[in-house]
Amino acid sequence: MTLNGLREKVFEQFPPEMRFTAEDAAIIVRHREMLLSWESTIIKKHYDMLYSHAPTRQIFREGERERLEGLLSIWWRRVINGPIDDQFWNWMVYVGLAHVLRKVKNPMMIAAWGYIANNVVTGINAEEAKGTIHSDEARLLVIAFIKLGKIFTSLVGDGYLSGLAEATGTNLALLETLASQEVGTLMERVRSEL
Amino acid sequence: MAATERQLSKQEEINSVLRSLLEAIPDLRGALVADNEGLPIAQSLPAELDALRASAIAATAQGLGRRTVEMLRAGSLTEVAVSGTEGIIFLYSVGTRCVLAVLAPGHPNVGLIHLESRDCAKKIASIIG
Repeated sequence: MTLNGLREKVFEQFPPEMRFTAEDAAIIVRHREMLLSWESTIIKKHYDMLYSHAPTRQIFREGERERLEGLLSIWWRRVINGPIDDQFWNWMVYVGLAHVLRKVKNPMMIAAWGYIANNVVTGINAEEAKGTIHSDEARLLVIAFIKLGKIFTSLVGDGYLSGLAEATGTNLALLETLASQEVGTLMERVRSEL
Repeated sequence: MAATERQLSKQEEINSVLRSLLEAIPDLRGALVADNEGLPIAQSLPAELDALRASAIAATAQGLGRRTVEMLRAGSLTEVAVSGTEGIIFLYSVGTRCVLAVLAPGHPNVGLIHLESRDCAKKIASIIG
């Protein structure tokens, strides 16, 4: 497994309509000042939520919130200022591996991003209502964040699964081969719960 | 020689090496070669066994074996043996990308199996390249 290889595999699976384009990056950059001004609020809300929910709170070690907030700040500024390039996407795969180390489950990661996205969309809507951002721009900005989020959560998620597989002596492709042979029995067993 | 012909020829060579192994030790129940992703390359298995499933589980066991020797500082993996009441399965590394699984009966001549199978794995590795 390599970061480049995993990123390329995820991108191959992503239909072009949902890929993050130069136009998506450009619209984020156009609203840089507004988005950067939300940084402290978004970061505070993010960690307030994670620290107030027992399963996510137990991920954290004593006294590390400030450091983690710093990391999220670096990430947020990179998203806004760019570049959103292969190195950025590789970083997201690497985050997936770090999540194996910290036992951050994919639902936690997806929910955490969802909350940031909710706050971003709420902010955009508020600015649109005030007339500081045109409705077309607002729509495109929301789409850019949706695409960004779908791609990076896929990369983090696949990074996590690949990390789990490779660290235990297998690989994702092998697990898929094995599972495709065996999953029918499992489906049969759980069908009654539908 | 065209790429497809070369591939076919390799396949025939691997099949021939597997056949030789089974002829050398008639007690064996079967043998297969799979890649590290669990995809079958060649096999000679009893009819009741599914080659796809057998290949996938052999590659998985091989991967776990490799990780085990790494973690327990036992050098590089040479083979894995899995014993059941009805037989023993030996797994041999074929280069770094494939596995040879040999299905032996309950009380096999382990020395002979290792001798022939290690040689077989080497031959297949050189064919695969």
